[in-house]
Amino acid sequence: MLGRTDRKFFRRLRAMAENPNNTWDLTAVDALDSAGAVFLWRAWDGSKPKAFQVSDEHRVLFDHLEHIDLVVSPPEYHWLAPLQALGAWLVDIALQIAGMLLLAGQLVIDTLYCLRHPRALPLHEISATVYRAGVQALPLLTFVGLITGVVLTDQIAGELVQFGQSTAVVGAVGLGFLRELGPFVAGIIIVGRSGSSFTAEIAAMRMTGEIDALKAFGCSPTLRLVLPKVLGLALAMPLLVVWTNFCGIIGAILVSTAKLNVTYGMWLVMFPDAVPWSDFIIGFGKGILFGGLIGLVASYYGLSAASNTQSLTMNTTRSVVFNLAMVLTLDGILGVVMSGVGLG
Amino acid sequence: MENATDAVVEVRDLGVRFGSQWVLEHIDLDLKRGEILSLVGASGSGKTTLMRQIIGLSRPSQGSVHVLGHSVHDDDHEVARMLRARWGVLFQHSALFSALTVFENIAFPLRELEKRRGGLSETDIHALVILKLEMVGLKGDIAWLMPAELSGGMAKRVALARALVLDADILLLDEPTSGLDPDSASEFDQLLGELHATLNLSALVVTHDINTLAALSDRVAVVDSGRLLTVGSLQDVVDIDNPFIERFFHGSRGAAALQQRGL
Ligand SMILES: Nc1ncnc2c1ncn2[C@@H]1O[C@H](COP(=O)(O)OP(=O)(O)OP(=O)(O)O)[C@@H](O)[C@H]1O
Ligand SMILES: [Mg+2]
Repeated sequence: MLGRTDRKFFRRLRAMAENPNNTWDLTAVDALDSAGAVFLWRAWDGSKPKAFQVSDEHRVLFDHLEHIDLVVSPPEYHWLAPLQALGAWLVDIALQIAGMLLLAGQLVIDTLYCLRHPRALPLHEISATVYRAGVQALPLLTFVGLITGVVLTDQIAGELVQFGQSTAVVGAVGLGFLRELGPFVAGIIIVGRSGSSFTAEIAAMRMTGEIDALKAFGCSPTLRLVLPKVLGLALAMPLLVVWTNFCGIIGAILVSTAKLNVTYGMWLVMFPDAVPWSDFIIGFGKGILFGGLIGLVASYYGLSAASNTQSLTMNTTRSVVFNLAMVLTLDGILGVVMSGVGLG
Repeated sequence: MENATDAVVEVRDLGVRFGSQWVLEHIDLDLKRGEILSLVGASGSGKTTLMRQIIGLSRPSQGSVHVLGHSVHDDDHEVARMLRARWGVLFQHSALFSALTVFENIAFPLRELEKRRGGLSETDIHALVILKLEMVGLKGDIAWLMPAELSGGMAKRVALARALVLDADILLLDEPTSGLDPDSASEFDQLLGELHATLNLSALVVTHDINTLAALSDRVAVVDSGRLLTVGSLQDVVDIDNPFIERFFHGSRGAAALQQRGL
């Protein structure tokens, strides 16, 4: 058999091919694979030699080669290409956001339908979401909350001791957690834990035809799959925020007792004064908002996946990236707006 | 609007395009009340696409589909819901709900109906599910398995049970016997034959199985690269001079099956 890198042999064939008087007789060849045929074809510079004999069986290969263009040139590079790519990307994102808004509109319609037909409300699926995305996330959130509380308090403890303001730890950590860190940490964790799995679940159901089957039996995929995820997360998320706050503050108490002599009892007394109810409510509200939006975005990317594995993985990544960017942006905007209206 | 002779499914000048490629063009096809119509065609000729259009899973690029006199894309929710209770669908790749048990898969259409109409008790549902499992030749004790624990052939039967559970009068079956062993396939043929005789149902059956075709069909429709080549009795279709028909019906397998039935 011919080796592909057999350059010397190739040059010899090439030299022979350049002489039009040479006759090519391949009738004695027993076996010729496509690699061999392409090798010869290239030696002939892409056309059959004039004097050419070959068995019928092998002729098919060459007839085939004659009709296709073996060299497919890559698209030409244009200096505007990066700009075009950027434009296409922006249009893509805009279309995706439009798609999410449409999905949100559909959910409103589904909700209204459920109000008129209470039996259609997917209670079972909602409770499954609360359990899977909420209850089962508790161990991880406990761990992350505790660690965050410990690290944060440990970092500011030094400063506070220096200025003789040890008891300020209650206000600083309490406010920080209830308003910002709790919703933020819980949001990031839920995006990674549940957002990704929602997208993958729905996209996989597309691949297996389950979404089609739902429709064929008269069941709306948005009502049955998306609504429970959005409502379930909007229900579970604020509670997860509260739990994260709680764990974070426990972590803070552990450190402040050891390092600052601010004990559990002192926290209990000072906390209600240092941290107003409004902060608790802001964090809770953020939880509802983040939960609903994470569910919506994750479901959108699941539904918009094409039915192949590549699209599933790509949309799962997109879902996580979009959700993370969204949680960060919203958190920032809300922080600025709320301190602007005097809630800060 | 519905009388005994008219068509239950009417496909008119249907065209479907993916991107710039027409996958179906100018399809005119009727499924008449009480008949079994087989749909045959090479792989990729557009049979599944046609089935999906008939149950309204996507909008056609051109033309229309009516079932029981109503457009499958009727905006009236009640009409849409009524239609879905009247047909039973078997998808080519079974499409069982992987998160639900076999029992819940078969019960699914019942529960959907129950949500809208009421009147079915849990005991009724249980009995109906077990009955349909028996009907497709499965034991009741697989009801508690998950779809992932079934063989391909068993999944197909479960999907068939799900398609039959509403006692729909229109069956749309995409390759019901592919992946079944020959014995099970002929059992299925028998089952569909019996159902047809007793329930007066109408069925559109996509199949590559010449035995099913010969045993059951009142008429045969042949699609080739997105166009409807012909519709007619098996006898008429077999006699048409066309390379696909030639290969399909007069290839070694086909010829034997036809000979057996004296065609
Ligand atoms: N979602 C889609 N996007 C693009 N092309 C599609 C899509 N679905 C089907 N097609 C194309 O439509 C054509 C018909 O496909 P279809 O699944 O209807 O064939 P089929 O007759 O059911 O084949 P088989 O016997 O293998 O099941 C194929 O060429 C396929 O590539
Ligand atoms: Mg198909």
